[in-house]
Order: sequence, then C-alpha cells, then structure tokens
Amino acid sequence: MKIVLLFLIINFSIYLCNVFYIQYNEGYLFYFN
Amino acid sequence: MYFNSREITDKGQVDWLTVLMYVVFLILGWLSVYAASYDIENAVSWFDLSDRATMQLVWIGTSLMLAFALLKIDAGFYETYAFVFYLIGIFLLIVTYLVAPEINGSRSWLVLGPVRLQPAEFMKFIIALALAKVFSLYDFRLMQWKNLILTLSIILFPAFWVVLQSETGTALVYLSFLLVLYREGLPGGILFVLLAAIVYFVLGIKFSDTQVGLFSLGEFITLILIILFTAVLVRNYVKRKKDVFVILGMPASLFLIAFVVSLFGTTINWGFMALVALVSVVVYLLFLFFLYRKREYMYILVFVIGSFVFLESTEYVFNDVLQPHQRIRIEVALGMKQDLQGAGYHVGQSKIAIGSGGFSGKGFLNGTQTKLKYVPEQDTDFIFCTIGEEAGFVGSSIVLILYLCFILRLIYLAERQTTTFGRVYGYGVVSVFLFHLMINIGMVVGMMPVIGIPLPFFSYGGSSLWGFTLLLFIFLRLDKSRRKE
Repeated sequence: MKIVLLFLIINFSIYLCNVFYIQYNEGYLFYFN
Repeated sequence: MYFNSREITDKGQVDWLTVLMYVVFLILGWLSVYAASYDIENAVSWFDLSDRATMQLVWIGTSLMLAFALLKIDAGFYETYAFVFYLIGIFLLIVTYLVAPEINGSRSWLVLGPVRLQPAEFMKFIIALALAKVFSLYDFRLMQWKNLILTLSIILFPAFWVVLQSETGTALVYLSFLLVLYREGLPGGILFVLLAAIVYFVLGIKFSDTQVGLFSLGEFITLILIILFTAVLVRNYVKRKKDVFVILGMPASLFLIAFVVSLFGTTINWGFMALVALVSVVVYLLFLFFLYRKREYMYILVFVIGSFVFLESTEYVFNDVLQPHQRIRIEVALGMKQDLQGAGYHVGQSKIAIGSGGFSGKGFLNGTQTKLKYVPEQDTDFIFCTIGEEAGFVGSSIVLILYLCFILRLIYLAERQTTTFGRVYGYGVVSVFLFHLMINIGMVVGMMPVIGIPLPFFSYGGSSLWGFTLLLFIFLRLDKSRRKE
C-alpha cells in the first residue's frame, strides 16, 4: 500500500514539475503578468 | 421488531466527499470548456444548442440525473446483471464496428438520430463490473490457468474490437485493468516484466541511430539493463547472494579486460562484448538450473532470452506494425523529432499555450493561444492547455492536486469494501481514472505520445462524461451498501 501511495505522489510531482518546467522554459514564469 | 439484513446494509451514507469533488470537477470542467470554445469574434447568444459550452451544460445536467438514478438502483442489480451488461456491451461494440460511419478517421460512433454515442466509452464500467463479478465467483483463484485466461479474455476481447474501430487509445485504457489483477494477486514479477518491456522499447527506439559495434546504442544499453534486471530477479526470487555476485561480476570483469585491452590500441567491438556478457549470464543460469533444479532459474532464463528476442523485434514492430502516425507521435514524445508543422504541432502549440500562462495565468477568457485556436482539439483532449494558459501554474497545480486527492479517496473507498465484488470494481475505477489522467496530462505537457483519450470530467463530450459518471456512481452505490463491521 505504501508503494502505491509513493508511486502516486512521485508521479503527480513529476507532472507538476513538468508543468512548471514548461512555464519556466518558455520564459514567462514570474515576470509575464 | 421486523429487522432484516437489507435494512442494515442500506443505512450507509453516500460518500459525500467524492460527490463534492465530482461536482467541483464538473464546474471547473464546464468553465474550461466554455473558455476553450469561446469565440471572441462571433460570440453566440446565450443558450444556443449549437454552442459547445451550452451543449456541455446539457451533458452535465443529464449526467447529474444519471448519477442520481444510479444511486437509487439497488446495489445487487449491478452484481446480478454484470455478465448481461458485458454481453450487451460486446454486442454494441461489434454492431458499431459493422455499421458506424467513419468520423475523424475512427469508426466508433453509433449514430442514433441527433445523438452520437461511443459504446467504447461505456465498455469501461462494463469490463470493471464483469471483472468484479468473475473475481467474486465462489472459490476463484487468479493464478489458475483457466481463471487467468478467462480474466484476460474479458479485458482483451473488447480491446480487440475497439482497436478495429481505430480507437487504439481507448483499447489501451482497458489494459489499465491489469492493475486490478495486481491488487488481486497477480505476481509483481509479471508487472515488472511488462515495465521492463516498455523500458526496452523506449531505449531501443530512442537511441537507435548511434552504432556501438554490433548493436545500436539503444540495444547496447538495453543489453546491460537486461543483465542488471537479471541480477535483481535472482536476488529477489532465489535469494543467493553468490549468484548475484557472479551475474554482475562476469560482465563487469569482461568489460574491464576489454577496456584494458583497448588501452593498448586495439579497437573493441563493444556491442559484441555486451552480447558475450549476456550469453555468459545465460550459460551460468543454465548451469545453476541443472545443478539445483530450481524452477526460479528457468523463469529467469526465460525472462533473459525473452528480453533479448523482444529487443531485437522492437525495431521491426516500430517500423512495420505501428502505423505511420503512431510512429511519428512516439518519435515526437521521445524528443527524436520536432516536426512542429506536422505531428509535433499539437504538442508544440499546447506547450506554448501552457508556457504562456506563467505563474498565475492570464485570467479567465484571456488566453490568446487557446482563444485564437492555435491548439487543436482544445476543448476535448487538449483541454488541460486552457487551464495551463488561463489559470497558470497555480491553477494547473490545483487541478492536479484535486485529481490526486480524488484518486487517493477512491483507493481508500476501494480498500474499505467488504466484498470482493466491491473491491475489484473499486480498483477498476481507480485504474481507469489514473490511466486517463496520466496519459492525457502527460501528452499535453509532451511527456507521452499523443493518444486521444479525454481528461475525466473536463473534456467536452457526452459519451465520455456519461461513461465516467456511470463508472464512479456505480462504485459509490456499492460503497453505500457495504456491510458495516
């Protein structure tokens, strides 16, 4: 059960980081608005 | 006092937290569809059924009614008629394949007057019900050949018909039910083999251009990986440290000798060396098998040889079995090709849209990338772009975290079921939702190849919304009438 939770949390974190990375990479994060 | 067991079992509460999350998803989803299909230039009048946002409102309304009805039906109904549902579902899939007109390259829509339905969407809850029913049969044990074949054919038979309808994405969703089998006693080793196959495939394709002696770089890395996996399997299943040491030591010393020889100016065929290393591992395993007569060694041997055959066939499968559009989507996802004009266009535009959202987004209805229709399919499969652009990192994070909570809640509910039927169905629901999320959001942010499956509750479309509602609320109904301990 712990493995499943760990897997889920790591997986979702990767997705979150990826969204962050795209927004960072496009250069707009923090100073666009 | 008149007192029977039904009265006790029906006193349970609907899990309101899940219902609340469902409603929140519907609201956020509708706002996203509204934003994604909003036409800046010619905004249509309010409540025009040709408008996609209004149509989505109709789908949401009917879904809520459906949800209410599902909660009113007796829980035993689903268990009793699970196989009947399955037969009807298969029948509809076959009929759809035979009569459906071709829409957007797939023949999966059943047209009934003004309504278009996609039976493949409804098959998800039907397969989950059928699996749950099979598992709750008296004295069912998954790891008997008869039962294993029955279970797999329940999953694979509809998948076959869905592939024929050119809806490969939906067929892949059915494969996510393998996770349910894992929960119900499928050995982790099999899941490991499947995972290894994916890793081999990705490595073999991604690094297929550079040559390392006899093999491509991808194949070379994979050969090393096969040896490492073998060591892990021996460690876990045979538990003899000496064997692990030899299996890792032989190739290591081989490469060390080759490296030392190469220092004296001899060119080494590294690919050939990797093959020699693998063959030495195979010979050693054979030797161990004949020495100790343990079945585990045989299984691991099959794994090693199977891995090698699989690796050598990946290139053939990739070039000759997959269709050109699937091939190019995989290449784009692996970063081998950009192709921003063609196959990479979807993902390229969706990344620009998400990226332009920035930290807090451009604000509701202010997203220029999605409004001006740069992103294709932006209110169906690529709806996550709209969230990324208009709500920014904050909004995307909130949606992702909400989904995580949703999945965790469903796992909690599945675990608290008192019947096998409820638990298996619950895990079926979890796997379908998880697979949809991972693939859909993954493809929008460019981590996965483009596979056209909707984002649950967000994507525009009646069939998918109804399908997810059925899936979820049948489970909530089963949960409501579980027996209290």
